Amino acid sequence: MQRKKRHIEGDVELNMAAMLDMAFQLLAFFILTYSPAKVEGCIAIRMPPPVPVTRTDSKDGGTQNPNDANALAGVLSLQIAVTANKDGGISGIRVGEHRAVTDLRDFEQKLRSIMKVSDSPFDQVQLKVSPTLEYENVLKIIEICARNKLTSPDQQTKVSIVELQ
Amino acid sequence: MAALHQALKAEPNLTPILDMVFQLVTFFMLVINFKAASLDTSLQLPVIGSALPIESGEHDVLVLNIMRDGKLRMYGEIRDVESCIAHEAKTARQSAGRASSKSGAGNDLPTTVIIRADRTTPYHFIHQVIQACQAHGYRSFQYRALSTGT
Repeated sequence: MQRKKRHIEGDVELNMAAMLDMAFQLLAFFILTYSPAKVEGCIAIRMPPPVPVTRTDSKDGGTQNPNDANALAGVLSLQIAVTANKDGGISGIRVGEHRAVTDLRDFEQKLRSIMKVSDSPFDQVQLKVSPTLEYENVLKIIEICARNKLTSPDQQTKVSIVELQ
Repeated sequence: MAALHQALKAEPNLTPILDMVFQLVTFFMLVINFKAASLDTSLQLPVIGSALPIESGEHDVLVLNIMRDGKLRMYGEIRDVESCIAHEAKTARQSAGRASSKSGAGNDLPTTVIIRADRTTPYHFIHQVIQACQAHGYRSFQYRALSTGT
């Protein structure tokens, strides 16, 4: 009975200082490693290695077999050639056999006029890009292509890119 | 006088400050993003109007930071393009093989290559990297950019 009484009288005090020290250490670590990054967006592209692109009306080309997994064969690509000036800017954009344009708005208009035709045979774009063209300009052209229904249901832009020789 | 000083023992109540510090720690733990270590924040990404939002569910990615002089930077280190991509492809193939030995989708890798390049990089350098990736079985690519609004 006496023993029990002694237990009740004992006063337990937690040492908060040590825990606070540790918590401050953790806080300092998280504050120092915290770097809010800018919100990035993306343009998704599926790019298999280059294969010959054939016309649907050709005798040997064309995917008559619906089970053929090669999505590129048999598709008529719209050829777009982009040349660069010495600063890496766009000096000319040639859509197919049309006259070259220099302005992105003119390019979009031209592309829209081609793509809005209901029986337009073009399903994808092959970009031929000058090696010195700046990356930002390439993305602007891809973006215009994506805006003009050259995007698949899985949001992957149907553009293949090669270097202009 | 000395006895009076001993009697007045000041003990600050640390519980509220500890509560607050734990709240802050919880906040920073929730917002910390270790994936950001693979992103080179010094790069000036291109700005385009209609960049799609990034899907958060994508786990199998390879982030390639390309500087304006064409050098490839991964986790803060300059790496050789060919050897680095070959190594990453080998690792990805091994892990893909472990994950599903049944899938066997040829040589194509399921990994998405994320291209983060400086806006002024000549496309020639990016094309070299893409060709190296294609040669090692990568098929899915993402060009990263900032949206006009950000």
